Amino acid sequence: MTLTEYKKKLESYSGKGRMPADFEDIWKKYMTANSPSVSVEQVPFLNETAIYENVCITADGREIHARCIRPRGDGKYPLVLMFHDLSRGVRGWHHMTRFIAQGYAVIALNEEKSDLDWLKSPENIDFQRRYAAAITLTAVAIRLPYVQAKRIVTWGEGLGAGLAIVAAALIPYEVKCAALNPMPADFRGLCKGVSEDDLRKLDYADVSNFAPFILGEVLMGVCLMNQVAPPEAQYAIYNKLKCKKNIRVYPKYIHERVNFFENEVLSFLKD
Amino acid sequence: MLNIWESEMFSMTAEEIAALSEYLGATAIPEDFESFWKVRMAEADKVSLEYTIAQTKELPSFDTCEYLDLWFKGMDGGRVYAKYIKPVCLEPIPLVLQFHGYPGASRSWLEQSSFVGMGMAVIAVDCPGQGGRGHDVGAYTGTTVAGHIVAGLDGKPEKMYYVRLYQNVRILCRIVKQLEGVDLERIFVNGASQGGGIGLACAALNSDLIKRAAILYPFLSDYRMVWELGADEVAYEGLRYYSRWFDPDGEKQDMWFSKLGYIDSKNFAHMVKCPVLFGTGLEDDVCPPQTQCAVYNNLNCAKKRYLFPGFGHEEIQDFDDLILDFFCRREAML
Repeated sequence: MTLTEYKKKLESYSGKGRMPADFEDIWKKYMTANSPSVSVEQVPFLNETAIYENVCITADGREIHARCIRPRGDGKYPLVLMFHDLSRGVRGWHHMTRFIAQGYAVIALNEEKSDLDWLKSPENIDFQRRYAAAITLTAVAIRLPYVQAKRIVTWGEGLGAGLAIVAAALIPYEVKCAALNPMPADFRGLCKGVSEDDLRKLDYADVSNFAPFILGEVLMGVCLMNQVAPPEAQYAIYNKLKCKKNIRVYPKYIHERVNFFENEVLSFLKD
Repeated sequence: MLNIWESEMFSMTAEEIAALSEYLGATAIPEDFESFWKVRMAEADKVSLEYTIAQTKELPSFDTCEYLDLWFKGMDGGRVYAKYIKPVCLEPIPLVLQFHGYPGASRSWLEQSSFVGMGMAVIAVDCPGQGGRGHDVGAYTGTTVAGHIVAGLDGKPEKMYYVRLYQNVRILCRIVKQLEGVDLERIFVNGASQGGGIGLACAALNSDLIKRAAILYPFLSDYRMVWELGADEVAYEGLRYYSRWFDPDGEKQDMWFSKLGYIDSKNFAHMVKCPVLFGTGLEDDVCPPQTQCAVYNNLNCAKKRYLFPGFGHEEIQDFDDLILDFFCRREAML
C-alpha cells in the first residue's frame, strides 16, 4: 500500500472501539466531585512577568500534582491546559514559559512516566487513574480565580494529546483542543491477544469514545510513520469528532515533536 | 583491539571530568587565530547593513508580542533569515540571540516564545544551507559532502562554511545595535550543541555586545579528539568522511586539523568576556564530554558548569530552567 492509499483508507476508518452504556456517567463524576482541596507552593524564579507554582490537589484520597505558570497581575487569563506523553515526565518551567508570551496562563499535569507499551500490554497501564487525574485537574483549573473559564485550550502530545481530548470532552462548553499524535484508541483494532474482559474495560479508556463529546474546535496533527500512536488510532479519534475540526498530516514524521505543528498550535491560540 | 566504538568510551563521571581540569584540547590554537578573526570581522563590518523586519505571514498577529521575519544581507550577498519575536513593552528589554543545533533550522515560533514569556526579545537565526531559510552563496573549494564542518576545507580557511557563518552573525550583531527598544546592556546568547558552539564564537567575536551566554554541550570543538575517540559520527560525520576519502592514510592530518582550528569552539573560549552558564550531559556520545572540557577549561571569564549524569545529547530540562534566573536577573550572577 502506498502512503497515499494508506491515508485514503485512514480517512474513513473509525476503529473498532465500543461505547459502554455508562461511559459518560463514569467519567463525568470526576468533573463534579465534591470540591477537592488544592494547595499551592510558589517556585521562586526571578522572571518578573510570571508567577511559577507547584499545585497539589487532594481528591479521592490521592494527590494530583501539576505545574502552573501565570502572568504576574490581578487579571483573568486564558488558559492552556497541558498534558505530557506516557514515556516522559512533565515539561520544564522554561519550556512552559512559552505560553506567557501570548498572555496565557498554563497548567501542566505532572504524572509519572512509564516505559510500558500500550499496544502490547494495555491492560497493565492504569489509564483509569491517569484519566481521573487529568479530569480532576481540569475541573479545578477551569474554576481558578485567575482563569478566563471560557477561553480554555487543552494541548498535548501522544498520551498527553489523548488527555487533552479527554479534558476537552468533559468541559461542558466550547473549548479549543490541540492534539499531536493522540493515543490510546482503538484497542480492539490494534491490540492483539487481549482478553474480551480487558477489552471491555479498555473501551472506557478509548480516546475515540471521548471525541464525540467535544464542543468547540479541535486541531489535530498526525504523523503517518508513527508506531507509538498508530495513525489508525489517531484517525479513529479524528473521525469520531463531531465539532469543528482540522487535521494536519505529516507523512514522514514519527512519534516526535513537529516544529511545523507547533506553529499551527500557536496560530490556534489566537482567539 | 582498539575498542573505540563502544559508547561508554564517551561516558564520563564527575571525577573524570575533574581530572581533566587542565585539559585544553588535542591541537594547539593557530598562532594567528586572533588576527585572522580580526580581519574577518573587519570584512563583515564593511558589508552595508540591509535588512527588513516584517510581521511573519506564518502567524496571525498577537496583542502581547510581535512575531517578525528578519531578513538581512550577509557575506558575499547571501540572504540570511531569522525569527524575531519581541514582547509589547515600553521599557528597553533584554534580547536573546538563539542558535540552533546541527543540522536543521530555528525551532518553532512557539518554542522561541519562552524568552518572550521572560520579558525578552529573541532572534533565532537559521544557519543558511542547513534546513531552514536563507541562502548560502556556496562556491566552496573542495567537498561539501555531508557536513558543513568540512565545507571549504580544501581551500583557504577564510572561505570555510563556519567562517562565513560567524561573519554573518557579526552582521546580525550590528543590526541588533540598531534595534529599537532593546537594552544593549542585556544582550544574551543561548544555544545547545551547534548552537552552543556558535554562541561561544558569537560571544568571543562580539564581546562588546554579548553580556551573558548559556551554552549546553557545545559542538564544533576539539576536532582531533573527536576523531581520536571515534566520535566522528552523527553531527561530526564530516570528519569521518573527510578522513576516509580525502586523507585515508592520515598524511595530511596536521594540515586539516590546524585549518579546523580557526573554527574550533575551544579556541574562541579565551576571547569570551561575559559570564557563561555551561552544561554537559555525562553520557553525551555526540559531543564527547572531553571535547566540552576543552571548551570550558579555555574559558577565562566568569563561568559555572553543571554536569548532568544520565543525560546524553538530549533535552536537559534542568539546564533550561537554570536559564530562567541566569537571564532574568538584573545583574549577571552565576
